[in-house]
Amino acid sequence: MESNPGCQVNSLVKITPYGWQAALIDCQAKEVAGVSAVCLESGLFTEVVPAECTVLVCWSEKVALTKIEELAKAAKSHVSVNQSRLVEIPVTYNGQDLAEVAQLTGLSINEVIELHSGTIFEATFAGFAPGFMYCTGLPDILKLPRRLTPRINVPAGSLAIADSYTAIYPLNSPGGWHLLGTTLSKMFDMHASQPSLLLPGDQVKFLPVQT
Amino acid sequence: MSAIYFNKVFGFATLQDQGRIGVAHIAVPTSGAFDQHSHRMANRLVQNSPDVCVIESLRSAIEFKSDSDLVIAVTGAPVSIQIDSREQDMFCPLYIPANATVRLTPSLFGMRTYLAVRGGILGNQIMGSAAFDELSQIGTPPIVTGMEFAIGNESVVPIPGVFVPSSGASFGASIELEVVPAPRWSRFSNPQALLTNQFEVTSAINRVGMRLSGKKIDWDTTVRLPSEGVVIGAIQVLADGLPLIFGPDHPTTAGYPVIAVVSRKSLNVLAQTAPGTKVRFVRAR
Repeated sequence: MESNPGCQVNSLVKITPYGWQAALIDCQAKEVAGVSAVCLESGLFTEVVPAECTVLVCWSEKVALTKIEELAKAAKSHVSVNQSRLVEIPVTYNGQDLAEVAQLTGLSINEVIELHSGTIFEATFAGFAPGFMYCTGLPDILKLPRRLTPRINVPAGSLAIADSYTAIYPLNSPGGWHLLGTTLSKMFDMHASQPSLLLPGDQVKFLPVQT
Repeated sequence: MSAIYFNKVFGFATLQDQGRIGVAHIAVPTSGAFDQHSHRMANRLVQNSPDVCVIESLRSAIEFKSDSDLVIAVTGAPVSIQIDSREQDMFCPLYIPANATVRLTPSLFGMRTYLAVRGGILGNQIMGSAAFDELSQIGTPPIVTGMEFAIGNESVVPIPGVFVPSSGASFGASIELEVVPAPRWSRFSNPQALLTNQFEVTSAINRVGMRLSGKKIDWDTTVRLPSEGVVIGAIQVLADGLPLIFGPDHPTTAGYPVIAVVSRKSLNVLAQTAPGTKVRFVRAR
């Protein structure tokens, strides 16, 4: 990660005990992937849970806060973007909200598709449902608030956007995001040895396919 | 291989073990037994290792039998146990002859009863655990009438005549829960309100979380807080100012500020706490 004069990486990382067997690392959004990767590689934790601008670490055998601070510092030199894998997901841009998104953003439908499929996103963190990965990197013009009325059932495989994120719903669930398309890729398979297709830190590209 | 067959199940009974470890980063909750003390004790009584899969019964009426002899033990919330209509005791190993009918009838005290079978109950292993996760609906589905599970045969050591006292949970009208401040403690204008006021367990409780009622704990709800990882026992203060305590099936990340964390020992008590119970939070020493 390039050092940025406005971003004092180490001094901004804050570590606070969280209950008896965990600590919360506060950092900048762009540092999450690096901190998370270093904590995971250390093998010291039972869980490493990245989120928007925090990383939660849990342990079963006590880890000193100074050790966690050391790891967070080591993350400074960790180059997350170039080392991570690129996952390409074929998508049909046929979402129910495509026309509405075009209208709300003042773009044509084709422009929305080109912009979205031309972006390389980063799977930043999971939440909401197993395998639901919040991907960052959405172009500013596509950033829209969630729908006023969430849908009761969004089918598994739906590609959607909301706020500054894009994601694919891994399972049928309620959802309030704008639906851009669908994929046949299985995002979450509970029986697989690696159940989630996307992992935090992955680069993600959506490949438009015709049906 | 022997099996256990459920003639009747009324209520919410699930298989639980130690849960799913190392998958929170893909938004899969840990899950596992809510009252870990009772879970371990039930296993210990039948000479299983402590994490073996058991039945967690939420005040359910259960009737089962087996095609072969079993040794079982029952811990946690009080129930009446009958083997072929003869009354038996909790907190000790019980010998069940093949084809005998075992009946568990819930009482009005406590919430969750644990039943261990010597050798362990074999559920559907999903991501290293058979536990049913109420939030993501994965694992072994809740037990219903007609279901059957195989029994493992790993433990072969002889059973000594043992007895352990109940968890010590008082099942009383009021409980004290031990807490430590969480990283967002200072986000509240008066976090001490958590410690100075009394709260009450509402009926909105399950394995995901337990909502409390009482005096509001104020925070600035106009500021959007980024989602962050949460732990079991985390006390989230919702937009209405009221606390919600996360249980074993809690979401891996959440967006409301967490004021404090309940100790694992206190969570064992909370797992047995019924709606209407008065709750006080005390700072752990």
